Amino acid sequence: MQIEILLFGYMTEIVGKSRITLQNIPSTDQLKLQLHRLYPKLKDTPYLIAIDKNIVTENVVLKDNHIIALLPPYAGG
Amino acid sequence: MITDRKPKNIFVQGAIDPHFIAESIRKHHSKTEIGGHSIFLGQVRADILDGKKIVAIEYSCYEEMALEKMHRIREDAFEKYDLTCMHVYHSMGSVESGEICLFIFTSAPHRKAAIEACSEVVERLKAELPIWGKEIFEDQSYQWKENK
Repeated sequence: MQIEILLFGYMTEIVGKSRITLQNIPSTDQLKLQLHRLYPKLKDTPYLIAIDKNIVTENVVLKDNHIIALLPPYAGG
Repeated sequence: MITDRKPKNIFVQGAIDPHFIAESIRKHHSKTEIGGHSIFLGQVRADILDGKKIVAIEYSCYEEMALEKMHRIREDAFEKYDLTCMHVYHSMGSVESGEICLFIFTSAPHRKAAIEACSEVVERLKAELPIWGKEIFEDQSYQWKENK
C-alpha cells in the first residue's frame, strides 16, 4: 500500500517538499514513527494529522485512498 | 438544518482593499430587512521581535479543508443566529503590515445577532481553518506566525 501525504506551513521546510509518498504504512501511529525516523526534527515539532480533511488524534488504520495531511498549528487571521 | 448554501471561496490574493469593503457595505442597501451590520477587520501588525520589524505576512492554506471547515462554520452561524447574510474574506499570499488580511461581515434584522455571530465566526475561523503565515522581517528573514 502506498500513501500520499500533503505537507503545509513549516512542515514543508522540515521535510523539504510539499508532498511525499510512503510505502506500507498501516496506521497513523506507524506513520508518526516512520516520519520521525526519516525526519528526526519532527519529534520536537508540533503538528496535527488530518485524514480526508479531518483531524485525527487517535490511532487510525490507513486505507489506500485516504488523503493524509500534516498540519502545523493554525495561524489564520 | 439542510440548506442550499454551497461552500464559497473565501480567499483573495494579497491584501483586502478598503474600497472593496466599502462597496460590500453599499451593496446591502437593497436588503431593507437588515437593521444592523457587524464587521471585523484583521490588520497585519508591524510587531518588533529582537529589534527587527515585521513588514509583511505571507499566507498559505490547505484550501480544500479550509473551505470545507468554513462552510461548516457558516452553516452553524445561520442555524444559531437570525442572520440575513454573512460574507468572509481572508488573504492569501503576501500582505504588508498596515493592510487588511481578514474581513468578516454579518448582517441581521437586529444588532445582537449580527455582533455575536461576527465575533463567534472570527474565533472559530482562527481556531479551525488550516491557514498559516510567514512573518517577514525587514531583512527578508522570517518566522512562522503563531496565533495567540
